[in-house]
Amino acid sequence: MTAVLQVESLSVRFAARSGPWSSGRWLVAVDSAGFSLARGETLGIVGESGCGKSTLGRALLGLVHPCAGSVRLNGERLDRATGAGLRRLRRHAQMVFQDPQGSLDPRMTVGQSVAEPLAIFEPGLSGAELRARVAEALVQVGLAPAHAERYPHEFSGGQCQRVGIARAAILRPSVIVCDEPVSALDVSVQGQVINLLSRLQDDLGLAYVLISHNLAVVRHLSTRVLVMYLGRTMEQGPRDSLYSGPLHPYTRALLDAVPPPDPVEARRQRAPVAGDLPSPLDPPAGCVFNTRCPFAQSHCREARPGLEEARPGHLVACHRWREWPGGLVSARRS
Amino acid sequence: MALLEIRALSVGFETPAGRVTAVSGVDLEIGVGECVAVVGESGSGKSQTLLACTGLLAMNGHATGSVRFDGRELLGLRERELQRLRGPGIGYVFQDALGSLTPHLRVGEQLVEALRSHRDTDGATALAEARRMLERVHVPDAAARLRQYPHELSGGTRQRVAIAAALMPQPRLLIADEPTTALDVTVQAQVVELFRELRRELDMALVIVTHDLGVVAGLAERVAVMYAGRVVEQGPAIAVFAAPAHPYTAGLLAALPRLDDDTSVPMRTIPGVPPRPGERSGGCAFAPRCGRRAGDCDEQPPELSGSGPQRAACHHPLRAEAP
Repeated sequence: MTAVLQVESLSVRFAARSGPWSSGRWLVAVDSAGFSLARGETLGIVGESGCGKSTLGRALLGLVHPCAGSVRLNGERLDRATGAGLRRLRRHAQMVFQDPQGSLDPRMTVGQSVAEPLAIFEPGLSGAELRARVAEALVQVGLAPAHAERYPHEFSGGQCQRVGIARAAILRPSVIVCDEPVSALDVSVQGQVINLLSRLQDDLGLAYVLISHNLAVVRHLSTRVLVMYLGRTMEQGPRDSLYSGPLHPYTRALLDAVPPPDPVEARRQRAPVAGDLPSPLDPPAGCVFNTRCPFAQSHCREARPGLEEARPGHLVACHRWREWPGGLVSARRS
Repeated sequence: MALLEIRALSVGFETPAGRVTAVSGVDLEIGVGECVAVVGESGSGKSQTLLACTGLLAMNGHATGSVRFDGRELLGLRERELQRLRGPGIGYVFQDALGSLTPHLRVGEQLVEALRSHRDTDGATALAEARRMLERVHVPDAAARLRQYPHELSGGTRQRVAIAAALMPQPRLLIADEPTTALDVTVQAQVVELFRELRRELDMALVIVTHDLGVVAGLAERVAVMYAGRVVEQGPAIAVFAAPAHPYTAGLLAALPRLDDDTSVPMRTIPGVPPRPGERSGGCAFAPRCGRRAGDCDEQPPELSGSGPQRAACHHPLRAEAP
């Protein structure tokens, strides 16, 4: 089976200047990310602020230019495409944003927003055909055809996110990049949107890239998971292998940081790691996680670990993973 | 006697579209040294309830009912009297630490000001106290931080500084409104741990206002769950988490994504969306989304009731199953 999305050694960097006369520095937002994604699969990209997860998502759609590496969409180079070639590829790769209201034009009706991709990519459609397709897309995301006449401010956050999903799915793309699709929504509504994404994936054979800071949400949808920290891939692998036997201390820390919704267990919880995230402009030498890692040794401060395949399809960038080949156990339970 | 006693508190806002009720008839007590969580989703009225207590409502807001702090009625107090009370009486920590610190003042100056506006001390003593407070909330390299500006600090350190500023006048009650929401998950866990530590060491009551039941679980002794401007359930945290009586609380707990969820079945959700302020019905506000809805639910809003410490505002509450 050919991959829908094939990403190799993808790096993105931004020029950063602290003042008009200071010499430019480079902020490495994404450093050699690589993965492949097949039809019907979901890759979860997890990390905290500044880890590069959103930049990676944007690079997949050609919204930022990588400085190295390649992105292939259905076998074609998306990162090299320009103009008409890029536009043609883009109909196969769409995006859902974090802020459901902010990503819709307040002066356009919901129907106009959902119709816009069709108007661009299928300009031959008649008005009646367009309306029928919009109605179908709205029903598909659990809204009513009559909602097409309304404006975003008349909808709740969850309903706006459904509109955003309808707009992304109406072209039947190969892949949708969802950047924090539920983090702005109320808890009671988050599950509705996750379930909707899951059902659409089954119905339409979509592939997703799901970007989130919430490991519990990512677990519901993902086939594979990629954990990022300060632009670097720390660990990536099949979902169950990663959740039940995490090999990187940072993955373990992220798992332990999810507060258990149980007063008895929660009182045993300790903060898994100390300190704040370092500035991405000035990442630590050696392993970028060494300043916060409970297992760091002098070697970790000197040499940067490469990604190694620890289990089939499960990669980790840690000098010490061989000491816990079955995975790191939660500090909470010990 | 309770330290903070809220009785029949209602909060409304005058808007161009008419009067909008955000909070209706809330009763809540916070005991001396107690930690209570007020939990709810956006628009539930959780933040407005606590803002009303300290006279921090927006200009178009109006509160009725009664709020007593240490026996003294707060509603209707003059701004000058409220100012004397904020600080040594009630401290406040907000979600947005950058927004709650003054951008052009150094950390040290802000902490000193927080103390000296309530206590007559000389600058050197206050500065020494500021440094001790930063160390107490585990800000690394405290002496250097005193000379820095808020924008130079990371998100987690900023929130620690905001907590330190609120603690400087040694408040008897600290209200923390979504104190961890803007933070990264690993830093969130650190701040929750800090609150637990402060509770052990300081003789201070704590109210955590949050949408996140997970954050509350490890901290609060008592939980009040709000929906559409009312408290729908309150009780000891252990009891509420183990056997919620209100269908909304139960739904919220079930909807929380967990690391041990069965991923082969859809996530549990609450159907529908919360009502907007102003579009509330005469009956139970949760009825349109509730699986236990019956005829009487649409007729009149249920009052908080129950025999023990755990009480729910529901005509058809869930009973605790026998173990």
